[in-house]
Amino acid sequence: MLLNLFQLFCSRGRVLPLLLVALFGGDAVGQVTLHGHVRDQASGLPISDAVVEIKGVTPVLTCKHGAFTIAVDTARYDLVVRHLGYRLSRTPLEVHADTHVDVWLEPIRIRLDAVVIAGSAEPMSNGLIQPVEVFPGPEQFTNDVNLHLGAMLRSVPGVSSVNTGASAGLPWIRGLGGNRVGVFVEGVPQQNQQWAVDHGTDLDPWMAERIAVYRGPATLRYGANASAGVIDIRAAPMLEERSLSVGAFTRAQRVNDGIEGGLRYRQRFRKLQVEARVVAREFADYRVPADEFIHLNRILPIYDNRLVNTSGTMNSQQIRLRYDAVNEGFRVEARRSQQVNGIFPGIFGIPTIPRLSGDGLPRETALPRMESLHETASVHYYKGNELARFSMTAGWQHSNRKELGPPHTHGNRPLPQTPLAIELDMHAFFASTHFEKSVGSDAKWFGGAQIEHLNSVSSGWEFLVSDYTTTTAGGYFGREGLLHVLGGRLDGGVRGDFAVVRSTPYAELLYDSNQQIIGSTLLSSATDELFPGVSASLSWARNYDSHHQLSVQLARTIRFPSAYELSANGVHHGTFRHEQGNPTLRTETGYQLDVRLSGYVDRLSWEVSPFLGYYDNFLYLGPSAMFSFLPHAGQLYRFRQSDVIRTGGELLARYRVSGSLSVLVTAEYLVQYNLDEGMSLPFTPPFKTECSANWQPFLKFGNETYLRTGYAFVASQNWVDRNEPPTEQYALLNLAFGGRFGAFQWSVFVNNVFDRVYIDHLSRYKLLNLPEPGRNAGILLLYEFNHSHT
Amino acid sequence: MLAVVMSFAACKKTDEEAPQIGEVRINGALAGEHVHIDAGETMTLSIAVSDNEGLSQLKIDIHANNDGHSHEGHSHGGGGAEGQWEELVIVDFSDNPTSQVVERSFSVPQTIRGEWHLGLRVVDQAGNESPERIIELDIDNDLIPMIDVESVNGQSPSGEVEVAPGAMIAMVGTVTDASGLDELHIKVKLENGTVIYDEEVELGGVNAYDLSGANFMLPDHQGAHHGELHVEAKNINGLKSEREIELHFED
Repeated sequence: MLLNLFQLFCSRGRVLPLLLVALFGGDAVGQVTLHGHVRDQASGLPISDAVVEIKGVTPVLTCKHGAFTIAVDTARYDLVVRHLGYRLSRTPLEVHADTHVDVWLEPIRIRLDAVVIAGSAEPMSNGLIQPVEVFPGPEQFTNDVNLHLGAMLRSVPGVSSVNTGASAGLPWIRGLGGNRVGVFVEGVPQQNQQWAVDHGTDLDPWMAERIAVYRGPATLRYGANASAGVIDIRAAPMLEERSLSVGAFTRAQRVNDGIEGGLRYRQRFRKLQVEARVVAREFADYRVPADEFIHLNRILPIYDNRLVNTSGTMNSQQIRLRYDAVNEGFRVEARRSQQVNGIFPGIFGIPTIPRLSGDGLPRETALPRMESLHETASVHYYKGNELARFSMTAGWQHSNRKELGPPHTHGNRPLPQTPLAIELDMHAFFASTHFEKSVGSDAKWFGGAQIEHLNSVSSGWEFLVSDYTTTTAGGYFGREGLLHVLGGRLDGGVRGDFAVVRSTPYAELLYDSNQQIIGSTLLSSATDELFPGVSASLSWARNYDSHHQLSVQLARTIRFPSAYELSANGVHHGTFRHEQGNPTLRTETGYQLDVRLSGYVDRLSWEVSPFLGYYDNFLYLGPSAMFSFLPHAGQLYRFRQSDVIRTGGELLARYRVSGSLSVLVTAEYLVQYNLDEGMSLPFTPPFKTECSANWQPFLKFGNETYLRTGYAFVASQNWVDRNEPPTEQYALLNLAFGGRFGAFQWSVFVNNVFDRVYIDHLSRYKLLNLPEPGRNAGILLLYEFNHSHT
Repeated sequence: MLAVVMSFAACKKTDEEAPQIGEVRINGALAGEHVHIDAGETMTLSIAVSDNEGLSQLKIDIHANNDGHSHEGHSHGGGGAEGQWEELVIVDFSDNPTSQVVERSFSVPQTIRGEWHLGLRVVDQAGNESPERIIELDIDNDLIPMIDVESVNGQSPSGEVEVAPGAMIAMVGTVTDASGLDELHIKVKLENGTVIYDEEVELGGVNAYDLSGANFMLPDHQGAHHGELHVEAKNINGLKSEREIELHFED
């Protein structure tokens, strides 16, 4: 049935007959075949859907592998190749016989280094999982008021961002995040989101060079913290030998009076390349279209439509040394980022009107505030060729997070003498290795191992989580090309992991009316738990022709409870709740089915990716039947486990109206059902669809001028967890206009054009009825200088 | 796939009904949105709660409305409270009744005056939580001094007051007490807890005192941007009242 459907599609395509003639030897007398590939000049990755034109011949599109074939008469031609986001390529050719030509398209850069959502940066086996291959254009990312990785990626279907204000958030994939979505930088998992479930990564979006998003189970290759997917951030490809590249950017935006800028230096001598990058940012309290909010049923004012004390600063630095010889190389990298973010008084203790009225200084970051430092160092070595490859990665990280607030106390406890409410300090060590060996033309063995050790220490006058250590280790192996069945290839692999989580007990002191210690009460008991787990993946993929592909993946995933989920017991200011750990938690197991159907017909390319998952012992934070014993805290939320079913999918369709105009439509839907509770899971993303049009007219002034409109509709979400507020539907219109003058590029953008008041279902601020930022306008300027001696 | 989930959802029956807070009586009288209470007396609450399947806990939360905030369903937001009084009581329904009348008594301190909020919430066995029921308590008190600060350096004391380190702190207002004032205690405390000004003024039993007589120079300091001006008055009976004003220190 499905095959017939494909054949029907193919029979109606205008391009396919030409390809069939070329591939299977048609009877066109006097014709020869012109074939080749179209690739990204920077990354070397194939470019699909590029338009290949020869005057007098029907244009064709490149396939998924960047390949094209055209039947032409022997003659002299200009081969023209164009694709959105790349400079047009024109290659003179004289064709006398069958000819192969490879075309390298130069990407249009609008950033220090264009962020490209693509497959893995290195041609290594990724354990059978399927990368997202969406190219929404890097400019879209630069127009977001939010300043974190989650916001940057939320235009990708299936990816959303759980935000706490505009400056903190983390990416979710298909409604799951935290310890279910691995964020890897240069192969090292970023470990600064383990305290509580929504602490975002400190990685500045401007520091990311290339990003691959893997939607779906990824535990086989990445481990137990990647059961829902992976965001894999890699370095950009090396420059040509004896080349220099220097860049600078600045961006300003209205909604928070934010200003940011950065410098980037890259120089390759012969085999050695040196890189350095700095980014800095400052922003004021951000504006919202609201004048009041609700906290614990108290109605409190918002003065001047600004969320007081949401200002902040951030700065990041990175240096990298790279060596690349034929079939061997290494990278050494060090990165540091520092943030100071004000905390809206409504989420730290009882917000009083004097505190909410602010001090009239929207750039001042007063108490309460968060200060964080994240330092990483990593080394990566690789060796091999097409037949066999080996790589090794090691990394160290230090994360320090401080939450500071006005000293206050309750009961007979003495008043604290410092504003340091909570300090969490973590060191993490990580090492991994991966190998693969080809066996035949369409099969390879692969395998590897990972080990990681975390050590976290807590201090301050508030308690959230005990001191703890976590050690995880695992190994995997598998084979691509296990079998060839039903016209497709079957791949498979298996992995074993374990985690050891140890935490110390914590007791809070009790005082009499004379502030003398009279005893203590245990808030968190010691844990010493060993969690084992086995994950596996089996996938089958078939190319029905050069235009259509079907792949199916069946995976068993695991997820270990974190130390926080086992032992926390305090108010988490990010969720405004008293969160309590549960030492009886066990390993979560998931069984996930992912299907991906993609193809193109003439000017239309599309992809559909439904999925279904069943989870045994799904771990989540839910409301208990108890109130918190802490003052000013409401209901007690406790980590628990239930059996859960999740299903949904994403749709993407891109239509090229003409050489200068294209339209992209995406849609995503998710249903999560808690079988034990008979309700939805909390923070389930609502149905969302987006339509964007990109017009690149040929103008006399400037180059690469574009106008982009984006319209997003987000449905209401009424299927919610117990006591979770539903949210209403909304629609947003965004505009962007930009272009290039020589080495300078520019972009002007307006988001939320109609200043729509809306509440994001995934925002923690929805619990306070705080809307998202209002209309925002901004400008981005970039400069790039490239020089090569070759 | 969606049909699979929908079929599960259709079969499963879960308790999503929130418990209810019914009649609330204070000292025997049916409580409306506002209740007058005298400082120093005992306040006895009688609270009727119910649920379709089984109650779990009731939370009684009494806190000052010292910044004039209001609650959902209440438009009144004048507020203002003097003194410290907080009560947090969690009543556990161990046998999970479907209805219950809870009685609890609280001693209203002699040292408070103004508007307090009594917040009531109940949760059932399944974790469903009722909306919070708020009753405004107007606490009358003739026993303690009355501190009336009209302005500080010409600015309203209801918000943050801008002051420069080393500048004069000029208060406009009065302190009164029918039985006679004994002393006035003024402190300035930084956000980190450090006290940078601490002065006591003997009042000798007068019934009224003009606060301009207690103006002072704010000591210079480094680092902190925020602080608190604390005014405390004691009468000849030893009863106190206090007022706190938020300060912002200019650079």
